[in-house]
Amino acid sequence: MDIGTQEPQKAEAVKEKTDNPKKTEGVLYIGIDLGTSRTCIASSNGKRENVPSVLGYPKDVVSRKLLKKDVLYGEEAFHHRLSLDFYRPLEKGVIKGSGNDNNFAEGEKEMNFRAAKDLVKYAISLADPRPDELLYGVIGCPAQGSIQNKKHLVKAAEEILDSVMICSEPFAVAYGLDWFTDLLVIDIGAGTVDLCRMHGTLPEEEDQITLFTAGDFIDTELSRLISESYPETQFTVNMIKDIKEKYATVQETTNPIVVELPVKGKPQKFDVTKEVKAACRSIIAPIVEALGNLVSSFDPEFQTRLKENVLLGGGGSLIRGLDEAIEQEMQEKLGHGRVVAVKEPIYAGANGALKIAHDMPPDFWEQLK
Amino acid sequence: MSRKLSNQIMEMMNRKVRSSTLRDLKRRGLQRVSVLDLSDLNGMIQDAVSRTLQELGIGLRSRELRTQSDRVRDAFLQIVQERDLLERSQADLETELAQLRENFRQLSLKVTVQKDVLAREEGRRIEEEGAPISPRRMKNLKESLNSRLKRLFRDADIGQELVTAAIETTGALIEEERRQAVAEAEAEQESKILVLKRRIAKLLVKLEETEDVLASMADAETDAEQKGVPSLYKRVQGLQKDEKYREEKKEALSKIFSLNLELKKLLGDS
Repeated sequence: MDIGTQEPQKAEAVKEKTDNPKKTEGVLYIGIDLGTSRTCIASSNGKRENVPSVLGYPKDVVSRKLLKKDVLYGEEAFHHRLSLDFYRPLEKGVIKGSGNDNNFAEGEKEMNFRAAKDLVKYAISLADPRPDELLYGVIGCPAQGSIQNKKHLVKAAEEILDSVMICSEPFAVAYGLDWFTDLLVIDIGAGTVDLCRMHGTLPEEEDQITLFTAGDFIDTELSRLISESYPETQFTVNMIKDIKEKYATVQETTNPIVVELPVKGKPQKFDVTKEVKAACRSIIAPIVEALGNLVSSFDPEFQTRLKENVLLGGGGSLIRGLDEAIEQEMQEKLGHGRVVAVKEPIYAGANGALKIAHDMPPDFWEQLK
Repeated sequence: MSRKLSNQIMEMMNRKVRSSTLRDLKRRGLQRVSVLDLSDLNGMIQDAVSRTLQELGIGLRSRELRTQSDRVRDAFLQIVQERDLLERSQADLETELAQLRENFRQLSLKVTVQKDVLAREEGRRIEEEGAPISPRRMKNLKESLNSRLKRLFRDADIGQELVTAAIETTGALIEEERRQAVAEAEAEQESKILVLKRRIAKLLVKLEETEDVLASMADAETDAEQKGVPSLYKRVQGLQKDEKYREEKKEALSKIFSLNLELKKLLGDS
């Protein structure tokens, strides 16, 4: 039994039955959180899985024979990345090249799109769906993702799902926790920090802010700080990411963070406590500033209520002491604040998307098929 | 309530429990977990059964109620036992499949080896100069030579003619022996080749049978894999009647749908 943030599923019979001659054995709902760093799914058959949002295709016939697969995903892809055309198809929460920017050549855009589609397909397969069940999925995307980005996400998913919808990721987090009003959601991912103001209705554009000072930003900061403090060290962004995921903290009192990094090929120990804390703290100010914008543009009568209910989710919420640090900053800059971290930050988005899928009326799904 | 049945339920649940370490939980992003005691779960199952029976069995006496609740527990245990059996059968099948695959591999190897031997045997020509003469044949040869030469010396004139005749006779005899030895060796080779061919034919039949079994097991496995894990829902759901914030959610879902419909139209246009 999965005892977490989800309510127990109620097995009541429902109003209408969806008739489909090929898929008549039931309906599988899937909630998908397609994150820059990690993709999570939660489905109505009890399956909950997550996989790093990376994949790779064998470079040539030799690597294909060695690896015995056409595509590798997640940790496996990462492990063999030197033999693969390696892709991390999402950036800042959306498919690379799907916006209006011209930073990607046409061929590169095509490959990113294909990689995103394969990733979505793989994520859905982790739910282990039956071939005779309808697949209805909801995908969470950044609060202010453009139409182009959303179009590409739908296009990626609709080849696999019978019917698919997109919704705002922070809204999905709140929906999953049944917290519909007087709430500020902060969803800290790798590519984006999504902030959303909930006031009893679907958030409008002005209720949502997307920041790019997120997990990847912390990696860049940490790399810079370590390079400044210890210029002789050699490291890659993946090594920095590992350090961050293992030791991330903003707490004043903490054990020293000592890591091994190579210097001219020989591993040596370095105390990076100061650098890790500084890198992790670097996202606090932009978050509180964005919170301030959301609070100050709201009905003054309800501003205190909003500040009282700040929900912290996403992988970034695993930074030790971050909830307290944001609270402190809110006290200083906004006069008051109370921050609560979600119980299952990794799955909060997927759980919420699943609940939305479950609650969506049958005829809405039909019309979107 | 039956204590024996209650203990059996506990045993079954203990077998189903899967352990995890704190490290694994942290890796999955779980910072806090809720813990439920198995005995509490057992208690809840029994309470649920009793309450349901009370609601459905109004008018039943307590002894009848107890009998009914024991029957329900029996049914529950049977379901769990059947599941256990299925899982064990699956494990057995997997072991059998692995064994079959190994047998197949061994058989294929044997066939390859035998084919090699056959090819070598068929390629080997019995060289007349190299054909060995067996001790028995050598003994016969000497006896024949002796008796022929004796006759020769008895009937012919002594002198060069005798010597020439002796050599020719010896040569003829050896020639004869050699031809017979070659014929024998060839016959032996043919017999060996026949045995090898029969052995290979038998192995191929066995190989084909194993292949058929493997193919049918693979089909069964694919079917089982393709079944997938069924959803909780046989029908499309929707908002429940007693849902918290029902009206607000209804409105929000409607807006989400409208936005997605618009997106779909844009996709259709592009």
